Amino acid sequence: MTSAYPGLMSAWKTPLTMIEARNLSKRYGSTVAVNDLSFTVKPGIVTGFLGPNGSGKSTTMRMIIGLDHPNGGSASINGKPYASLKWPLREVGALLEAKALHPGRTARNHLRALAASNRIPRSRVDEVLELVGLAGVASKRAGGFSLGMGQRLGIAAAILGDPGILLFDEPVNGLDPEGIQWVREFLRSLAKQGRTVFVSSHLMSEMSQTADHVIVIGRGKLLVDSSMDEMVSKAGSSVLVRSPDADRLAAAIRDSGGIVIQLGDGGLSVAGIEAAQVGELAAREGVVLHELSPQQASLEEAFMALTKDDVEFGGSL
Amino acid sequence: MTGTSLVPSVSSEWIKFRSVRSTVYTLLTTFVLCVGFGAIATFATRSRWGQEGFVDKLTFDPTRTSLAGFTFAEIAIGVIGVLIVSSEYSSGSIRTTLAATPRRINVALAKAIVLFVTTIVVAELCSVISFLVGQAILSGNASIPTASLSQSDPLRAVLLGGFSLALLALLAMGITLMIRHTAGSITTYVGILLILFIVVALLPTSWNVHIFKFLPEVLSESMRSATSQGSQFHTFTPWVSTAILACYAIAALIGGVFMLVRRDA
Repeated sequence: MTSAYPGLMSAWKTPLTMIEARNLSKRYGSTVAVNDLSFTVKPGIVTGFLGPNGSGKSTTMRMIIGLDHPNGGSASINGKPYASLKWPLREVGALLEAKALHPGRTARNHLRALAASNRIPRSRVDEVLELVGLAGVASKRAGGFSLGMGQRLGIAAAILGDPGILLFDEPVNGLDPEGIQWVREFLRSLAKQGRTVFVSSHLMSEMSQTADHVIVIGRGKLLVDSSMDEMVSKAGSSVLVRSPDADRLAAAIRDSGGIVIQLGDGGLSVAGIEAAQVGELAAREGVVLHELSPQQASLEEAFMALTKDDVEFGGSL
Repeated sequence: MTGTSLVPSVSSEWIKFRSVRSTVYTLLTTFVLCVGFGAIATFATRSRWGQEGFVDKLTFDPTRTSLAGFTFAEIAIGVIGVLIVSSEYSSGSIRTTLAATPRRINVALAKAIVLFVTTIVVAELCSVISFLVGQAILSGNASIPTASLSQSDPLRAVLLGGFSLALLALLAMGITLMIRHTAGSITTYVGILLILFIVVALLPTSWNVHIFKFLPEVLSESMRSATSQGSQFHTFTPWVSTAILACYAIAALIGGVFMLVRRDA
């Protein structure tokens, strides 16, 4: 006999599980938190939701699960508004903030109450506690949990109904490296089973190791919606050159349309032309090269360049 | 959608309600305050019976006297009504709750059902035990009249008294759905119960006689009195008082549900 709630090791079979935001907008007084945002989150991959702090990521997620009412546009789950789902926890699991639970209640009772509200069998509670590694503290009051344990309990709540769609808001915030590694692998395994996984973060470096697709927002507006590979190639590249005759080489590169930043010590950072062209130019000019290496711009830099005008509380350096 | 069943929401709320210690402590506090202060007040009445005036003796209501602890129980039971909602906001678990049950009216109804059923059981227990303890104390002096549950008016007073506490718990819950914060909600509830009372007392007598009877505390006193004689106040009949107090509780709940549904969580 197969259980109606298989463990997460089995594959997710529902074919179509999508999140869709259409012209989503939200204002708080005169502040525009989310501005005409449209995107689709597809199954089978991890979709990263990136933006600086205060860019509207959490607000968007809250609107998707019906906690906040949009001022315009709509969000839907498999084509239906979240509020119309009969047993929402069986379709969508969400981790919105760590420790959104009563500190005096035990981990097991917290999950039991949730399970009861969506007619999820009680046996599933111990199953998910086991899955996230909290079985040993199931009857401890959640108020005493560390941040990492609280996060695991939140994840247990999200997967309680074995949903096809999962939303995680900053799931690795405040976790130790081991915890981060665990969350990362867990998210990837959920996506591999065919589920739709939507994860927010304000760290590009974090997403580059987890997400297959990225949606970047700044001040509530969509900036990028592309695959991670595309994002990497768009991030652009530069060439690092070292030569004892740097001044002559710099002039030659500028003449052929490149952009040069002189680094001192004979180093040049070149953009706009390829490494091969730089080598050919050097040969033609008879300039000795000590180093010629293409540089991949880091995603973090690309992300900062993208959002630098959209940081709400930027500090001046 | 033809009425999503309330049963899963109620069982979820019941698990939440019974799985925190504050629930048990507050219910216990309600009971102790009710029976304890009732006993003390009744004992004091017995001790000074000899000095009581002729009219006071003639209009003496042994039922109301034995239920004097209700003034304190009303505050304690209100705290339960506040906490069932405010603890969700202070901990942030309201978001978990509303994500699990997007039909917010069901969340409010389930909470109201769990609260009402629990408080009516505890409140009737408070009422009956306070009454029995009080009559036992009064019977220590043979010249003091006592009441019995086999008489219709004392029985009605004891049962409606318990009911008044459960209604006040619902009133507190409705207030908290609007205010959301623990301290603000308790202050508002106690304000309506006690401070409003003082404010009305400051009004000219020709006005306040007409206003007092509408105050929750006076309605509750009218419900738990076997006779309207001897009360400081000009009151409605117990059944009219019951209807008015029920209207307050329902109005507060409707206002609370309205705000719960409209506001962002």
